[in-house]
Amino acid sequence: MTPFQAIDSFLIVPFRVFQNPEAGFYFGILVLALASALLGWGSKALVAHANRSRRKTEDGEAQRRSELSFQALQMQDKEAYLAQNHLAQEHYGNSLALSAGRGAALLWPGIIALAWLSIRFEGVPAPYLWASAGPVTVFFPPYILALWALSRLNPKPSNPYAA
Amino acid sequence: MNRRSLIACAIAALSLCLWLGIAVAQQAPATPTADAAKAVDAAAKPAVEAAAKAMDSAPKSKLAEAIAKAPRGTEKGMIDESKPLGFLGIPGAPTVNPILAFCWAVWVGWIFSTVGAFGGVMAGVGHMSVFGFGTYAGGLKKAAPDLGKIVTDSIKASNQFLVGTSAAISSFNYLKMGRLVLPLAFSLGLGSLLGAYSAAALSAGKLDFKSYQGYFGLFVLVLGAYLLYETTPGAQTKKKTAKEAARAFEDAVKKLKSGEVVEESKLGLHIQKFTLSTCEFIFYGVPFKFNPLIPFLGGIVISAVAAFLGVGGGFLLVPFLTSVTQLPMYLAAGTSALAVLVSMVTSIITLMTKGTPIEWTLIGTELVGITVGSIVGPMTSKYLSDKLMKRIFIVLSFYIGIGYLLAGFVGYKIPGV
Repeated sequence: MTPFQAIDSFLIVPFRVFQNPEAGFYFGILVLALASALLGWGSKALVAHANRSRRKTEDGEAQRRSELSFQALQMQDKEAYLAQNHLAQEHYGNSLALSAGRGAALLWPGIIALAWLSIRFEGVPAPYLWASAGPVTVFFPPYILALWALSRLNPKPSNPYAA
Repeated sequence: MNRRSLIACAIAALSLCLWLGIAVAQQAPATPTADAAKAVDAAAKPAVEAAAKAMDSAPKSKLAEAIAKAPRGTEKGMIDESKPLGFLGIPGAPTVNPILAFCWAVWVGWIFSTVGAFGGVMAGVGHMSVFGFGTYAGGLKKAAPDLGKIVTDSIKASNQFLVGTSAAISSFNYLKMGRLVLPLAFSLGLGSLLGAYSAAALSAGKLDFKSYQGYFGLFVLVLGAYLLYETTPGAQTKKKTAKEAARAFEDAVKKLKSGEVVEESKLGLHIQKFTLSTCEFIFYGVPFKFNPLIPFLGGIVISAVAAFLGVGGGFLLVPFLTSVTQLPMYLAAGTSALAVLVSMVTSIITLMTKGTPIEWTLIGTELVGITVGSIVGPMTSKYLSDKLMKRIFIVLSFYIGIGYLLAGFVGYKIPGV
């Protein structure tokens, strides 16, 4: 059994739950979209945990420098404002690069699912929809909705400078 | 409608564009007689069989047309049909070992989590040099130029996909915090959209690999030169002076108000005036004024460069906003993340709707690798000195930059790139 066949035999299971082919098609894609979002959310949490120490340092410094720049503004000290603002920006840049790992962790299951759907159902139209609509078209709305719903579970970042 | 709702609508519209763009670009046109039963047939039969059936009945894609047009044979740049399907399903194109793709992506993720934005450059190096797509696309220049350009566009879109993931995460965070300044986000976002669209639309299907490699090399070389400049005594003194000014101010603040913390609620951003040429606002009691055309033009230029080269652009946008327009970091952070997202989505969708194929399996594998690299990075970085890492990446920037520049514009290949 090739790796593709192994993944294929696993991912196709929800598509065969219902005897009705249309129902099976939509149910399978819905399960796949929700599972991809959930798995992505879990792995993003894992990366966030692994990076927490560095994130705390970078975000904390960005916040501290930025707040000092506000104070410089209040005291009409432009030189100090620019210096603090520049240092805040450097730390924010590091924090932004760190978030690439979390982005990759969030999206990999969705992209793998997309790749599998494209291979498995290439050229197959989605029932009841317009002629060119296929499984990829059906996959995106529940996937994005699930990602959005899961993001609501995360607490609002306490540091306003966290990337 | 409040600010959060507006931002939510903007992100929803972006998601919708992404969905429609990918759906339209990915979908092979269906046969009118196809029905639901076919979907189940496809689910029950082996993938190859279903795909072959669909391929027979569907009009040819841009890639299929370019493959059909390419000369057949065993020589360089020709399509050898006896060879197995490789990258993008092209016979004889390089096949990437998933383990190699995964390991390289772990390295990219490691860099992102330890060194920073240089991970994006390494993602590009992986596609162009390590996986062999660049050599292949470059070899197609004379015999099958159309196919070469499609492969080049695919490399570019793949690079941008890997480096743009951070913008998606940051934009979600800023949406939750309601931390976007609408006039700035509007002018920068519109500029980014125009810049990314123009660059992607004008270069799609027209840029041969050698030219792309040359420009990418030039960009890496400039990056390396900047990193090197930062280590020079002049730059160090400048940095030291800035740090001293910052420290002196910090001490003065400590003496004046010991223990007082700035409250977020006191920040009070109040927009006073917003016209096509002036945006006036009061921030922290201090009046600010900028010309919205500056972020608009900056957005166009930076996003066009980012879309053309297949890089993120965030590392250029934030310094642009804080240094050129001298805006506070508080305003620049979220806005630039959204602008990068707009630029990335626009560029990828434009390329895809113009017929650029993307190897999703490879992108998925690489994203898994970046995830693993980002977990491993913080565990190992404590054993390496920052100074040493910086020196290593300066050397790498120069080697890759000069190598790509020579290979792209002069045709001279140095080992390893």
